[in-house]
Amino acid sequence: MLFVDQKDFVWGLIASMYVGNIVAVALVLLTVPVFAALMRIPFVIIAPLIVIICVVGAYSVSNSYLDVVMMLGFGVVGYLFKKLFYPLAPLVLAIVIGDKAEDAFRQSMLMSKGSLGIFFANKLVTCLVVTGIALLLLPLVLQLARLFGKPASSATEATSEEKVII
Amino acid sequence: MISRRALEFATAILTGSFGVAVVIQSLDNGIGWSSAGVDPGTFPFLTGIVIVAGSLYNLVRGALPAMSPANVPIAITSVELRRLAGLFVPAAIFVAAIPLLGIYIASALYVFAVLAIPQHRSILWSIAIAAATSLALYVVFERMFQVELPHGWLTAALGF
Amino acid sequence: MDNLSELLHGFTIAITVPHLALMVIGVLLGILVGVLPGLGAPNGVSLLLPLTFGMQPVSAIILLSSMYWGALFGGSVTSILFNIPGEPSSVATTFDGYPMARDGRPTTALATAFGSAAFGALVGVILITFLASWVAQVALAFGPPEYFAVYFLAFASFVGMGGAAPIKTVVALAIGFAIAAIGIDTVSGSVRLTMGIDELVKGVSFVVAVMGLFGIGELLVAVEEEFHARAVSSRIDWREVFGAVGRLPRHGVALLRSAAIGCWMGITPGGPTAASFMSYGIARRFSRRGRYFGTGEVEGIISPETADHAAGTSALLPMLSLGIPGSATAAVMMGGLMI
Repeated sequence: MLFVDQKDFVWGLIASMYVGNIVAVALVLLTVPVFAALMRIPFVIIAPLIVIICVVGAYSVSNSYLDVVMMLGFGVVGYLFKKLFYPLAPLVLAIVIGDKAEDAFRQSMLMSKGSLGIFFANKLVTCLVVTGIALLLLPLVLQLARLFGKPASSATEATSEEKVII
Repeated sequence: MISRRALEFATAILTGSFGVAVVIQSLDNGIGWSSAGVDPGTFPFLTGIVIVAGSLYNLVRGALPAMSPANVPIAITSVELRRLAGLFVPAAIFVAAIPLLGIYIASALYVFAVLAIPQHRSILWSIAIAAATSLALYVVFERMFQVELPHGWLTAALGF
Repeated sequence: MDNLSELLHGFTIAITVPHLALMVIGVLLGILVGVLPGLGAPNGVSLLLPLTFGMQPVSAIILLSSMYWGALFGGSVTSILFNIPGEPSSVATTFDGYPMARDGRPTTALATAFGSAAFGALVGVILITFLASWVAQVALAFGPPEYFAVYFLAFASFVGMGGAAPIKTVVALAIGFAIAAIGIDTVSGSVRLTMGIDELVKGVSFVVAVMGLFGIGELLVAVEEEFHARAVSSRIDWREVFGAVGRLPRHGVALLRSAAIGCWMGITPGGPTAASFMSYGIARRFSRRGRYFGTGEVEGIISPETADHAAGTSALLPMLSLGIPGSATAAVMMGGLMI
């Protein structure tokens, strides 16, 4: 236990987090105009630079050339998806925490020998799952309510909303 | 010129074939329930099925013009297509050149080419920006953060 | 109040000239690391580790933690300006940050992001100060079912809204899951979905996916529309910077809600990424201007940024009290502590 073993060290760290936060936000606010000025670089110059940054970034993740090629492939997919109004956010969310969620689910299934009851086994987990289900169903309920409220006007909204998809 | 229908079609086929690949691959890992719990292939198998089914739906929907969500017949005009190619083709050549030339030479040539050939900037300006890009990459990555970027066969052959 | 006197004692250690200088250096290096995509905070912190070997432990950890701050802040810069999220946790910031910057208001977008990030981080630190031991116990009670429930909550709060065609959303989500499954399966250890390519055993990094999908994808959309960002005034306008920060309290509800989500996800540890997505999703659902989210809304920047940093900070809590790192960066920093 660091908290007990090295009091000076831990509280020095925590205090430095307060001070560091303030120092960081002050410094970073001072640099805002510098960063904002980047937006003034003409597109013809910034475009190849962005490509290079993406290439270097993709490569340096695990020193793999395949990653660079995949990154470019993802670029085409990203363009197509954006063009055809496929939402990108759920895709990214699933890439980032999809495998963790799957692992957790399978481990739970191992613990419970295949019974879904484990997700309602104690107060904490029940609360989380029920909130999740409620959040999933909420838009559906709202939509149904709107459908019964004013049946005609929804058709025209659909096209205008297409622009706002993330 | 590419119609919206064709683009929807192509994308649905792309996602669908990815789904098929996922389904086939996941069968190798076993699907269903075994003594070790849920088999590793189960979830990919299910997502693969969902992808295939969804892609088929999108394919059909894209094929029927009246049902396509926005009634824009043309997705990409030929002018737009040329602009897209103007960005993507040099980028693809740049990526293809990395294993041969290494990132420093390739990126310098890339920046120079996209600036000088369409005459966005004069030759001298282009050279200056290209050199600065390469140098900045080298200083920041190789020196400051000691991240090794690809040097390429050519540089290796020359003995660096 | 025992903690408080300890904290005051800690301040006397932290606020000395050499330590303040270390903080400035650390923060600046951190910003640089954060701005360069792919390098990322864990990487940056580990690169600094050798520098700290000769130092006093307190000085070393101050340098590392201020670098951590800098990297957290810097990560939002490229997300907002160029739609390139350097880290998964700043993906949600692009949704409204980038449209706002494109609209000619990069200063406001950046200042809002930094201000709310600082607020989130501060709440996280306060939590650490006062609740350390109590919270550690909650974290320990977490097993696989609870983890799954937390992730499920993150998905639920984010998916299902938005104007996209539902089937397209489902396809996108399923493709994401399939990509996440590529590589070694951590439960059984078997290799999945590599399509016969050996290099795919390590999986597909989110950085690779995100930089392609967002960075290059957006570039292609921009060039096709022959779009040029609206001209930014060449004057350096400090009023805009401080104006944006000054307007933050007006969004107090969003700030507090996002900080709460962030702290909760940081401790549990769902992590900063799940926190920022969840916070954005909930904000979109409950904000009066929810339907404008995605076009450059202020609350669309505040919510993910606050939650991201509250989570990033409170992720340090399990590390300090239990020795369990809550994030990759925290793990590297702990490595530094051990030496």
